[in-house]
Amino acid sequence: MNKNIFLILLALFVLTACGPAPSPYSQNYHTGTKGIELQFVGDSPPSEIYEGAFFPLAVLVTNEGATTLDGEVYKGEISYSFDSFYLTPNSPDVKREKTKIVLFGKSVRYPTGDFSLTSLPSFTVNSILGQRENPHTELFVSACYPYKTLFSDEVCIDTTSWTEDIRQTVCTAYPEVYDSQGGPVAVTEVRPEMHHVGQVVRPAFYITIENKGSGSVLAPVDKIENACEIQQDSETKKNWNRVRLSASLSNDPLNCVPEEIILHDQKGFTRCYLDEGGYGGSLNYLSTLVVDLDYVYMTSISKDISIVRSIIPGYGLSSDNKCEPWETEFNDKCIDNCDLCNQNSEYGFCGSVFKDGEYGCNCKEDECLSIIEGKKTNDVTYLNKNCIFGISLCSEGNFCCRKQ
Amino acid sequence: MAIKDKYQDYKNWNEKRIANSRYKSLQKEAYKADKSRLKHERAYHDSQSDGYHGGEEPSVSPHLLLFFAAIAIHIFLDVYLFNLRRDGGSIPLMLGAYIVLTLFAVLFVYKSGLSSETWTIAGISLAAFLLPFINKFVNANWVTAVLILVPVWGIYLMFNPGDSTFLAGFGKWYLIIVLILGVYALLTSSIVNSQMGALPASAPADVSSAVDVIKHFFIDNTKNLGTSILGLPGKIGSKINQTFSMSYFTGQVEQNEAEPLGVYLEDLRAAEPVFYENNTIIILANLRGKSFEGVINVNNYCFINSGNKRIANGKVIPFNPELFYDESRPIECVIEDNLKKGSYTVTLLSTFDFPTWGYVEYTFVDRETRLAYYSQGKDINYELSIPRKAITTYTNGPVSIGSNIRDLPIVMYPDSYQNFGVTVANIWPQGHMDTLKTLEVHVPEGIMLENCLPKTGTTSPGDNGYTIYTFKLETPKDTFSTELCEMKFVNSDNFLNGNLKVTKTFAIKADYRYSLEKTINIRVMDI
Repeated sequence: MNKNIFLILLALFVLTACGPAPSPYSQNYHTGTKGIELQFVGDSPPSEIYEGAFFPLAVLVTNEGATTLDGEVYKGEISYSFDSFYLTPNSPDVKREKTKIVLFGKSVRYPTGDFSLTSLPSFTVNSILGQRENPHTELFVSACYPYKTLFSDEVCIDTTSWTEDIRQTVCTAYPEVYDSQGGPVAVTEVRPEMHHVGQVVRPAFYITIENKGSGSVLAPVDKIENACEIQQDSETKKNWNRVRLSASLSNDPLNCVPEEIILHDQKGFTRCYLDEGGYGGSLNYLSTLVVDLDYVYMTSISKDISIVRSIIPGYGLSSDNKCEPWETEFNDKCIDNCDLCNQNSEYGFCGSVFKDGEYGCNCKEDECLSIIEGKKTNDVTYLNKNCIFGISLCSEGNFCCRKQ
Repeated sequence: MAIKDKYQDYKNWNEKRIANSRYKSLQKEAYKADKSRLKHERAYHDSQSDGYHGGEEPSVSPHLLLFFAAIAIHIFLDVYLFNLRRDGGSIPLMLGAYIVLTLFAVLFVYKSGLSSETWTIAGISLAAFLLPFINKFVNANWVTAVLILVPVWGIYLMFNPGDSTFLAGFGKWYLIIVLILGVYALLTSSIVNSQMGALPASAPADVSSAVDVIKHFFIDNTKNLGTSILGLPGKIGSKINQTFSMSYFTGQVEQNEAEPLGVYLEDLRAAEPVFYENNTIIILANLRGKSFEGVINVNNYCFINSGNKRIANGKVIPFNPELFYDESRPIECVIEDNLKKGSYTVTLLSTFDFPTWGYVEYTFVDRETRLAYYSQGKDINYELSIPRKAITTYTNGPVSIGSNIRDLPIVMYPDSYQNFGVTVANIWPQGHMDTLKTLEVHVPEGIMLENCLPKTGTTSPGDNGYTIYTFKLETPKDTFSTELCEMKFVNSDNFLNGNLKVTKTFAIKADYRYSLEKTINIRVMDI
C-alpha cells in the first residue's frame, strides 16, 4: 500500500516537472543588474613578474545587460592607469589611449550578452631602483559607458475609490517591488497614486530607482556620443551620481519631477504624473507604464603585481664613494682619516688620542718605529701617542703621527 | 552486596587505616627517641674519652661539614682549577670528587643507607657534575657567572640545612642577596644598553671572564648607568629641541625573505680562552654583508679602550674587504701591543658606505571625484582600490627613512600645496652614522618640491621623467635629521591626464658612512 502511494507521488512529481520549453521569443532579456563587466584574462597581467620582463595586458569585456553599445551613438571606453615608477608601456603615447567598447546587449541573438577580448598595450617592468627586494604595484582598468534601463509593466488604473463600484474589479492599484531590468541601475519600486480631477482619474507614480551594480553612476549627458569624454570635465563631475528618467503611461508622456534623479546612498526617487487629461470610466483597467533610465556608468578592476628581482648587481660600489679606503668624504672632498680625526675626533675609529694635538700623515714607517722604540714598555698604556701604528689612517707607506 | 555488609567492609577498612597511621607515627617517635639516645650516648662517650664534660653537642654540624666540602670542591676544583670545563682530564677528576662527596653524605651525614634519600643525594651530585655542560650549548659569560654563584650542592644544603642553624640563616640571606643582585644586573644592563650601546659579546666559557662579567654588571654598569642618568637631561633636552624645531616622520621596514640588508659583525670570539703577557692577541669574527646595489666596501679597525682612553690599536686582516651581493668573510683582529696582566675589552669597528632606500606611494584624485563618491555614499578607497594610508617602506639597514603618513587619496586642490617631509634616523644601537653624505628624493613627473628646509636641494633629471632632489643634511648622530618641503603640482589641470586617480611613487635614498661596533672581553695572564 505504501509502495503504491509512493509510486503515485513520484509520477505526479515527474509530470509536473515537465512543462513547455521556453520560447526564445517569450524570454525576458531585461533582467539582471549587470552592464559591462571587466575581467583580467589569465596571466595578463601576471601576479608575479621579474624586473625587466614584459607582459601583455588583456581584458575580457562582457556586456551582460540589455543595452547594446553600437560604437556610434552608444560607445564605451576602457582606460587604465599604472605607476610609471615600476611599469613602462610599450606603445608610444599611451597616456590618454582609450579603447572603445562595442558589444551587443542581451537579446535573442545574444541570450547571455556579448563579449570581446580586448588587448591593451603591453608593459615592461622597470628595473627596481634601489634596495627594495620585492615591490608591489597595481594595474587599474576602468570602463566608462552610457547605458539605458528600460522598465515596462502593467499598472492598474484604479477608479473604485471614486466610483465606489462594489463589483469585482479587474485589478487593484498597489505598490509593486521589482528586482532588475537588465542594467546596473534598476527601478525597484512603483507606488501608484490615483488623483481625482473632476470626473477623471489622473494617476501618479512614485518611482524608486537604485544603483544595484558594482560600479558608479557618473553624470548624464546630452550628447551620448561624447558621454565618457565629458566626464573628465570638472563641471561635469559635479553632476555625477545622477540618472535621467522619462516615463509614459499608455504612450501618454508623464511629467516627472525631478527628471534628473540624484542618488543618495545608491537610491533615488521621483514622482511621475499625468499633467492633463485623465482616465474616466466606471471600471478599473490595466495600462502599461514604461520608464526609461538614461545614465553613464563606470566599472573598474585592479590587479596587484609583485615584482621580483632578477638582476644580480654589478661590481660597482653599492654606495657612491669617490675616496680611498683610508679617506673619508668631508665637505665634498676626500681627506685622510688622520686629518679627519684631527678635525673631528668623534668618528669611531679615531679614538681619544687625537684630542691631544696636531696629527698628520707626516711619518714614514721607520720614523714611526723609532718613536715606538723610545717608549717604555712596562706600562700597560703602551701605545705611543705620537704615532698611530697599526691602523690605516693614511695612504700606504705613511703613518698618522705627531712630530715633536 | 547488602548495605549492612558494605558498611561492615568500610568500617574494617577505616579501622585498618587508622591503625596503620598510628603505627607509623609510633615508629617515627621511636626513631626520634633512638636518635636522641644515640646522640646522648655519643656525647657521654666523647666526654669520657677526651675529658670533655657536660655532654654538649658537637661544635660542627655534619651538614655544615658537607656544605664546606661541597663548596670547596666547587670553588677550588671545579671553578678555579678546571674553569667549569668538562673535557679531557677534568671529567674523571670531577666525577671522582662528586662520588666521594656523595659517599660522605650518604655514610656520614644522612646515613640513609639504601633509602630514597640516597637517590636524592646521588641526583644532586649528578646535577652538579652535569650542569657545566650547558656551556657547550649556551656560550655566554653570564651563564658561567650564574653557575659560579649558584652551586647545586650549596643551594640544596641551604634549603635542607639539617641541624645547622648557621646554614639555615646563611642560606636564606645568600639566596635573597643573589636574587636581588641578579635583578639589579638585568635592569642596569638593559638601561645601560639602551643608552650606551652593546653588551660585551659572548665569549667561550671562561671563569675569569665570568668574574669580569660580574664586576662589569655590578660595578661598571653602575658607573655607566650613573653617567647615562646624569647625561639624560642633556640628551632629552637636545631631542626635545630637535623635535620642536624639526618634524619627525616614521616609516616601516621592508620585511626581507632572506637575510636582511646591511653589514653585520657576527660570531665574535677570541682565538684562545686566555692570553698571556707579551703574546699576540687574536680576535676572530665573521663579517657579513648584503646589498642589492653592488659591492660594499668595509674598513675594519680594532682597538682596546679603557674607559674613554685608547690603550692599544690592532690591525684587522683583511682591513678593507669588499662584500659582494650577499657574502660573508672571516676577519681577524691582531693586537701586537704588549698588554699586561688584566682584563680588557677589545672593540671591533667596521665602517662602510651604505644606502638605505625608502619608498612611498601617493594616490591623487581631484576634488570633484572625491565629492562625487562622497555624495554617493561610496567608499572611494574601496571603489578605486586605493590604500587607506601612505606609509613609507624603507629597506633594511642601520638607518630608517620616514615620511609623512597620509590618509589617501590625496585630494588635489588648486593653488595649494602639500607638505612633504623626510626623516633619517639611526636605528642600530650597536653603531652610529659617521656622515650622512647625501639625501636624494626622486620626485615623479608633474610634481615639484619647493621652499625646502633646512637645506635647499639641487636638482638633476632621473629616469622615466623623474626629478632627483639632492640635499646635504647635518649628520644625525644620536637623533635624527629631517628635510621638509612644499610639494606642488607643475600643472594640476593636466596631472590626472583624464584618469580618475593617479598613483605616483616617491623614492628616497640616504647615502651614509656607518660605523658598526662590537666588543669582546679578554683576559691576559702572566706567564
